[in-house]
Amino acid sequence: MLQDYAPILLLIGLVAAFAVGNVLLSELVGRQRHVVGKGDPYECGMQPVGNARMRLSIHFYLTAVLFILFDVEGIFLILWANAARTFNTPEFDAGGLIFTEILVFVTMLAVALAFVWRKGGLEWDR
Amino acid sequence: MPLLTLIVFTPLIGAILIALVPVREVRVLRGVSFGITLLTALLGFLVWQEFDPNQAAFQLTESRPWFELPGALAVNYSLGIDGISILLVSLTAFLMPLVLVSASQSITTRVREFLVWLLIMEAGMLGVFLATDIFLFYVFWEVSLVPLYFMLGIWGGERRLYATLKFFLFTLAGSLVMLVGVIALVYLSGTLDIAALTQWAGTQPLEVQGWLFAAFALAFAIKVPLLPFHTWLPDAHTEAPTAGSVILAGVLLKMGTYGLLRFGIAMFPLAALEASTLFMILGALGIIYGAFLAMAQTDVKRLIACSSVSHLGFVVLGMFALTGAGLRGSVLQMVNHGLSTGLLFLLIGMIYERRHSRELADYGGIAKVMPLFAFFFVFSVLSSVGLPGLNGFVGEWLILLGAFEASPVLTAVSVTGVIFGAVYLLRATRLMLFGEITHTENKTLSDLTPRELGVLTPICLLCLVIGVMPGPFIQRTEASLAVIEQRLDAARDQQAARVELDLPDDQKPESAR
Amino acid sequence: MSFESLQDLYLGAGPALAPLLWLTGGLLAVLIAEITPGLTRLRPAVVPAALLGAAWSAGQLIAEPSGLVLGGTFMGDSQTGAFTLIFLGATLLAWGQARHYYGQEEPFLGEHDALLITAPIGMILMAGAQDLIVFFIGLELLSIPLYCLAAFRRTRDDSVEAGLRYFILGAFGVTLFLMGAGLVYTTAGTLNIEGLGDALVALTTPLGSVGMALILASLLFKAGVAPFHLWVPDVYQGSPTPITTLMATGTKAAAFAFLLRLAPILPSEAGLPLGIIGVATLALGNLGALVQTDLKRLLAWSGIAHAGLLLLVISAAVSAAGTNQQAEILNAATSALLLYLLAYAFAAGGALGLVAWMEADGEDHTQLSRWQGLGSVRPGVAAGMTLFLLSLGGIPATGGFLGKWLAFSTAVRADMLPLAVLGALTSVIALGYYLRVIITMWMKPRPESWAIPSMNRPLAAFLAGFCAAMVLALGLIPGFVLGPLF
Repeated sequence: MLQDYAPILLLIGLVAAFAVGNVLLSELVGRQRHVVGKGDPYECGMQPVGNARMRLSIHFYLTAVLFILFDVEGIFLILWANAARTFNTPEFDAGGLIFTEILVFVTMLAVALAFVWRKGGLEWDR
Repeated sequence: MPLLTLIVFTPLIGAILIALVPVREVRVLRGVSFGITLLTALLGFLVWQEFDPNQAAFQLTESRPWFELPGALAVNYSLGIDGISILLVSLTAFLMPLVLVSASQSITTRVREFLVWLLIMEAGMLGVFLATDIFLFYVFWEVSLVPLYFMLGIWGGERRLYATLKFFLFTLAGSLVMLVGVIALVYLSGTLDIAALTQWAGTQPLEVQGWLFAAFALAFAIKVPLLPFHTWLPDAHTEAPTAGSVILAGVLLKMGTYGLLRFGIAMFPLAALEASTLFMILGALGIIYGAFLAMAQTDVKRLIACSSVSHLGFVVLGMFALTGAGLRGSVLQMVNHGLSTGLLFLLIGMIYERRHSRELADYGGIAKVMPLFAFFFVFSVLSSVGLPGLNGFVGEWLILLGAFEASPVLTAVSVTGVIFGAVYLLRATRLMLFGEITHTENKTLSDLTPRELGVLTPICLLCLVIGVMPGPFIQRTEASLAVIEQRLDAARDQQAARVELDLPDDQKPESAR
Repeated sequence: MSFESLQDLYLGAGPALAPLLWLTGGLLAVLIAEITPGLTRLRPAVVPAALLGAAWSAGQLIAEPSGLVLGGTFMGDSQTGAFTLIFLGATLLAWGQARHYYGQEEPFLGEHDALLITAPIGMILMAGAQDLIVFFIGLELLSIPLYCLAAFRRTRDDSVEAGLRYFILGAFGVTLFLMGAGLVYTTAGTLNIEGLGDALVALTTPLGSVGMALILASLLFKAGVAPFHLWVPDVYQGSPTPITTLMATGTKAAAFAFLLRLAPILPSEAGLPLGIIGVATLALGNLGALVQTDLKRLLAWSGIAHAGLLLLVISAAVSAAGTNQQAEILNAATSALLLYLLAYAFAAGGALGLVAWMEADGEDHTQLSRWQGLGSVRPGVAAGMTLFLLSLGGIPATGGFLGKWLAFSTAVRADMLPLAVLGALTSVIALGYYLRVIITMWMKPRPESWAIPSMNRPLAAFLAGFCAAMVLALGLIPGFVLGPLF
């Protein structure tokens, strides 16, 4: 039972080793050049120190929402693809049915995307 | 011919017709609505003729399924008439055309609206007296409430908004308690038919009857209005336009006494016996208190309104004496009060239109300039105080007779109310009609017009007929009231048996041991 | 899962899901019409067409219920169908009221319609949900469009405030639901209503009862029942009036539809507390409405009171659980709720519709004082408002009375006579404020200088007339109107 989770444990180990190993490697092998900016905490390109109440363009927000929306649909497609394999066998032969299903889904996404596009949601300088 | 449906729906259809006439055609509006009420009165007369005095149960009945919803009992549209309602139905149909004519002078703004409300009200009131399905009864009960609300609020006097709200909230509070009573009654018994409900309720023990009786009696006591709930009445009467006051006194208040009789006494005889003393005391208190209130008034309309409280006290006193004479007297007195108080309100309205004052002090000696008015006023006052030979006497006599059987003490107290009644009404008469003319405005007052005479004369004639020959009127109520008496007797036996059971063993009579 | 069952899953669910498909199709059509140059003019026709189509399918569903579908997660019975009709009616009213309602936001009506048509999808899912997850999806599908729509008049502070307030408190309510569902799943091991019905013992454990209580709390929040009612007045007042209509009639109906599904699995001891909360809400709502001077706010408080009465009906069904009367009372409660909500939808929807109509003459026309003497210049509008208010007050010959009759009947049958009496008495307060509006319209003089309201919007007039006709028909010939529904 617990052995089933062994790959996950292995993955966690590998990821940790990769991260720590890379940092160590660059520390050991790389050339050391100290610049002021390098000591700062990483903050997505923003000044980490200063007024916290800075105003961001609403475009960031729109883009973020659109990203999340279509990102989640992407995850859903992966799940579907996985399940579709099970049903598209000689035993079930329901491939057509569930293909239609995903087609409907994708059509909706397409309409939504077209709407966003037409309405200028994808343009940065509007 | 579905006579009862016709009589209820004629005014309702009339109201719709009126609503379609253009507002500017005031004469057409008045003419059509008068025609409709006249037609209704004619139908009322037909009902009076068709009515079989020997039959106790509902007659001229009609019944049709109305609607049925899952989880609720099927509701029927069923109408019928019996000895308890015949007088009131006829009274309503008789009064309405006259009220309408009187209103044609006093109501000059928003005439169409007024007439529509008046006709809806007539349909509602007739429906209350005719419904034999308790759901239908409740619908009509509330429908008759709304028009008066508007009549008061739009065409009323200075403090009309206050009076309107008070009137509506008082009566509505009672209605809603009754609604819960109706629902409880319906679900305990499993029927909505009033006759069947009466049968069922009579067989129930006191505990069940008591609560249901309380719910119904509260609503009707507010409507009558009985003493602690009477405060809305003087306000409503004083502020209402003449037509509203006449209808209020003539018919709407009778819905309360009618309900007490039909749903209080007839339906729950055991509970009524228990509550008899309480209601007689309240009735007697109402008589005295109303009379004292009336004596203190300087506004003649308010005086008449307070006298209503006193007169309705008599009706309740007689009714809850639960004796043959008391019941008959109270049923007759409902009509009498409608006629004589209605007359008084009409007369006050007529003089108000000429003088625009209701203060007693503003009048005096107008009998000299308005002899006809004086004649009718004195006639109405005498009818109201119960002069032998006029209608009021018969009813009051029977009530006092019946009440004496039940409680001599309360009757003695109530008789003083008759005297007080004479005191305040005759005082008002003296102050208004006789003496010197102290105000110059009063010297030029014109006497009653033929139209006004046409309104007053039929009512006065009816007062005279009832006073001289009450037979046909009492006779029509006889059979139905006899049934109520039988139920009361049966309940008395039951009560006696209960009392015996409660006694210690050695005091019980032989039979019960 | 075999092929047959997979195919059955789809084909069998067709009739039950048809209303949802109509609405989804409508949503896509709105979006496509909005971005296709030649089709933009067609957009106004799409929404009513989809709504009517969905109503037709709902009618089919009532005639031929298809039972549990989608693996037992959605109930396609006549109850769902009937509630669907209420939702669609509410949406149609809101849609009609929104025509020419918005001034400067008019160019964004496409987005408005797309959001508007999404809300009933959520409501239908809520009404038919047999699984807490399906309910949750419905809840979100309903709530998110409404958050946006509440803030649709984005240049007005009160509208934005309404949107934000609704969003934050709504998110809070949703969180409560998720937490509750999680606890229930922990104890009972299922989220299916039927499954929960079999695991009643688990639900009475401390953890399980806390879970159910949290779920109930989130539902009461959506329905606007005390003590979760404080958002209602602000949100109803600030939102655009058509959206207020949708929230008042649709959202409330959806929350109660699911409460009705939950009633059989609640312990009967919960009945009395729920009934007391209901009557308390009734009193609180009525008292709150008594002092309002803004019509929308007044209707919001009255909406709280109505939710209280509806909760009394639910509590009757709950307290009958486990008795031999259970089926009978649940049946009575169902028809009482349906009728009450239907009458409420037409009365409140009609009244708010008239408010929206008046707003065409100035935003301050939601103020009661601006309605002074309206009866003398616009008797039709004043008469309509009077009828709607009388129905809300439960005066006979209107649908509201029949709803009240059935509601109190259900309570009395479930032996809740004292609560019914209390409820009836608090209704007297309600008439106090409805009458104030009527007095203002008919019995106070209209200042000479005020212009006569223009009122040149035929669709609004038609919808108000339709609502008035339905309110009267429900009161006078309910069998004729409701016959096909039950």
